[in-house]
Amino acid sequence: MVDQVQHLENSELDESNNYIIKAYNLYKIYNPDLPSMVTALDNVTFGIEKGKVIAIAGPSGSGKSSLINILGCMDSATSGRAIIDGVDITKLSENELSDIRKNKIGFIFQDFLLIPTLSALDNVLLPLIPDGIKKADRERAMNILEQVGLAERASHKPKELSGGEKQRVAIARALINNPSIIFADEPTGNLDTTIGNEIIQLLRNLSEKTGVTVVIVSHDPMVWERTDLLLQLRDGRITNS
Amino acid sequence: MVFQTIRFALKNAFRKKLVAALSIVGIAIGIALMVTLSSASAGFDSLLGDAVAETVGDVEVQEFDTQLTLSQLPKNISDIIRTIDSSDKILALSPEVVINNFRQFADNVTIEGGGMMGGPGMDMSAFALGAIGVNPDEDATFEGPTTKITAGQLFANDFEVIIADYILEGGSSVFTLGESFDLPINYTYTVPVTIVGVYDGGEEMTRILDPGFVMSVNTSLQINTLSLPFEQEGYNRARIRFDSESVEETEIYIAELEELEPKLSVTGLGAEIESMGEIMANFEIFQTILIIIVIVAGGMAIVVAQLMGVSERMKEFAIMKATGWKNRSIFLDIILESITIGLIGALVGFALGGGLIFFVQLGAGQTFVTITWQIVLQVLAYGLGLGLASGLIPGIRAARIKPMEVLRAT
Repeated sequence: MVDQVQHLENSELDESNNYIIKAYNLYKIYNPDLPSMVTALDNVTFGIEKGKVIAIAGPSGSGKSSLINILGCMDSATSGRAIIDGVDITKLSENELSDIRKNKIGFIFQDFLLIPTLSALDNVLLPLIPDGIKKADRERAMNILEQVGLAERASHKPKELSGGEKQRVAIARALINNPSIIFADEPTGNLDTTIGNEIIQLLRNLSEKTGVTVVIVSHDPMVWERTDLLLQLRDGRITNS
Repeated sequence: MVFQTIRFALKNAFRKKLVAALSIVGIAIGIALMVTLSSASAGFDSLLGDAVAETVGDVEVQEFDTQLTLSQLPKNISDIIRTIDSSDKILALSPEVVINNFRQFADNVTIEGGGMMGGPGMDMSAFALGAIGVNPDEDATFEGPTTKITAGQLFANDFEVIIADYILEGGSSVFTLGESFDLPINYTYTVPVTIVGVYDGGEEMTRILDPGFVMSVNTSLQINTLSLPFEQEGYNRARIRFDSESVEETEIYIAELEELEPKLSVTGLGAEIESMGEIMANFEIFQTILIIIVIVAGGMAIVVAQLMGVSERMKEFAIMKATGWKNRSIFLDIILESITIGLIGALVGFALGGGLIFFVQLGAGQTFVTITWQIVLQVLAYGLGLGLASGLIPGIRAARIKPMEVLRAT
């Protein structure tokens, strides 16, 4: 049985330095003060230790995506605080959030989201393009592609790759900046069970090897079973049921 | 650092090849028009400049307020002209008799500005030539036709003429060196005139100013007397060349000539040609407006193509932002894509315009049009500016997207 992430008190979070992710009383309210108001996150407070692989689970509308988007610096909380690798992201400007996404976070999406005109290698290097790509970056990208088993396919365009291979490229892209945390939003959603299992195993191996924290949003209980921790959400709150 | 972004933008600029090609064609048409018009304008300006420089000190005088063929300048007009204060500035002076109603036609003669006038029919397709009578000594001060005999000899007797070489070059069936032709007088009778010499008619561009037939003053006065209702004794006009550096300086000498008695109509050739430049300036305004309209239309092609591209690539921009791209990096990417299209369109347009000019010149055998380095710079500036301007709106739109909203929606 996988350990569950518990709702904590703020003081409990403050006391520990082991958490790479700290969420303090996070609220996310859509359409506030309107009849269509939705409370996606309702006072969510928890911490996640460095190097763990955790799954975020819950039914549709439970707030999984809202939580991952806020922690991934892609969206802002209505109130509360989130600290990622020691940085309070709720106080940052858009540019500073971009820097956090570039330097501390890697994203993996359900439908891979690769750039169709670029080769697998260039897709891996995508986050580095604005700062310029050096020879060392190219070598590093090749090493990562090798780690995910795609060194032979480095020059192939996305349309020449299978779903599993595309997701491996997406994982390699998420790793190129040596992030502290990888957020994976339904990474196996578009893959069959065997390939999906391989992807989760790959993420686990990478976490063990590099110490990266992996946060996976998934509906799939088979995925939950292979993670260190499970954070369950229901109606925007952490639940243990 | 920018190199990778440029490489990335280049790949994306041609993602939709047909749309990119159509955008390039749109811009290229505008730029080709610009190159053609600007080159024609620059060529004309250059020609005009040369003509002004060549004629800056040239002045023509005739009897005040009288038609040229009826103008009667006294026989001693040269002496009268040399009484002006600035007479020491006169480099050349040649009074001339202009043959009245000179009706001669040549076939197969090419005259710049007149085109190719050939064919056997004299009514429709022949080119009417002019004739003057000069004193060889005074014509020599201008290094005129009488000093440029290339075949035969200078007229020595009455009713002898020398003829410009270009009239014979085309293979005229009307005129032959050493033979006579009949000069019609008032459509009632003819006078035989003998061609005794051929003179160098000069470059194509200056032939329009060349009379074609030159004879002695005595002969020309006799011919005019036959066709005019009075006996002509004096000259029709006098050509003067002043040692002048500018049109303004020549204006001073013109003012002095206008003070003389008998009263003279004085025309500065440099000023006349310069005034044609003012007409050209008005044309250039029209040309600029036309070019702006065409290029803006071409620019709209990039805007539409880029906006379409941005709408289709929202997810890509979202993922780029998710991986840490800043707004300015995405904006730069779009701008570089637009500039790529703009510059390629400009270069294609330049090649089209240049090619068009080349073939037109090849066909016409003339070098009127000039492609200057300013035009090349203008083309590059238009391409760059167009790319920049038309990438602004799509760039801002792409940069402002909220990645999560886009990804959630898709």
